[in-house]
Amino acid sequence: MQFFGGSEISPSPPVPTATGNNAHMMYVFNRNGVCLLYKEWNRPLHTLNPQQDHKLMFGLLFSLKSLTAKMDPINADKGNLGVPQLPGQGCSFHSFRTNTYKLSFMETPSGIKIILVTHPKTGDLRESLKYIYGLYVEYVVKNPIYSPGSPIKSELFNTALDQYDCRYIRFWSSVAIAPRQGFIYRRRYTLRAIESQHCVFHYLRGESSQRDVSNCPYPRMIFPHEI
Amino acid sequence: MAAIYSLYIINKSGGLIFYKDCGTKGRMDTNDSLRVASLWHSMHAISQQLSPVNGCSGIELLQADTFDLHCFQSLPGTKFFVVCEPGTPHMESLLRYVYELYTDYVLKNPFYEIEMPIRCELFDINLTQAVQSDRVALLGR
Repeated sequence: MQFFGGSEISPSPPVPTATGNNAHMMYVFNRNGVCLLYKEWNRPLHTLNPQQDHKLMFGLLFSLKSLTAKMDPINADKGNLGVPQLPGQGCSFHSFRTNTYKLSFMETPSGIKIILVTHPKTGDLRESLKYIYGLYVEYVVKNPIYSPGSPIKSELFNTALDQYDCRYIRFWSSVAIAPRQGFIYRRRYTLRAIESQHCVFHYLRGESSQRDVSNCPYPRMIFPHEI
Repeated sequence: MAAIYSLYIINKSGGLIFYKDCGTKGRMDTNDSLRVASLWHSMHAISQQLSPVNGCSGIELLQADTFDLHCFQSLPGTKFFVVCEPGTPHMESLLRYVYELYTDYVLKNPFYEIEMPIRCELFDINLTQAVQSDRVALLGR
């Protein structure tokens, strides 16, 4: 599988194939099944608590990879069902669709699995997933303080993800954030442009002039400092 | 002519009741096909639990590197799924046609026990015709 295509350090974000994409959730797992990141933008239905949900998701992907490796019509030599596959070994799936969501999956050679759950009419998201992996390498792996295998808390990574989704995926968002004063707010808002984030930033900083507030469609929106 | 590799029918409880492979690629022995069918049944159920929105009815299309898997679940819970080349069109209509053949030649067969493996000659004949024919008739459905 051709994974490392270009030689650019930070490729430009790909334009989405379908308009009106709605991202529901995103998961990042490492090869041991630890959920490094779970981001939720729009999820009206929570069937299980977060730990069970992560385990179930990882288990589903593990089993589906085992299934696709076994069902592969091209490769003659297939292992037995249930034998753990190395990353890149055997045929792997890249997406599946149900009537309510589409799950796009990418596994890197190092075992990092990136999953995006979106609206079922979304197009092929493989390039988007590669771009997100590029962001992960830039902001998480190259961060000297980050220890591999622990959950990702990088502010830059989260901001870059939000900006990427802001520009290309319109979505409803429910975000829990801790501003500098130490409060935690939870708001629902529609992000239509990066400008709205900037005006909120000014608002929080105390420069709450009339101009700033009137520019802001949702004056009590809060900028994500830490997630 | 795009290729269909194999067709599976699973009963309500996840047991394989029919397996047909077309051609030499993707041939699987009996035990493996049984395991794959049960695994698919469980994955189908788990995918409903992970849905962010209400009303999920399970996986309809799985896209892998070398094949696509289209699945159709009927109202009673019988699943029909077909493994085909990536990008093969009109698989959903083929699955619905197979469901029609199933109701006509299997369920209406008085000697057929429900949920048991399918051993109905007319079903096999009509299925082979449907899969190997030009499928111009299916395009018009």
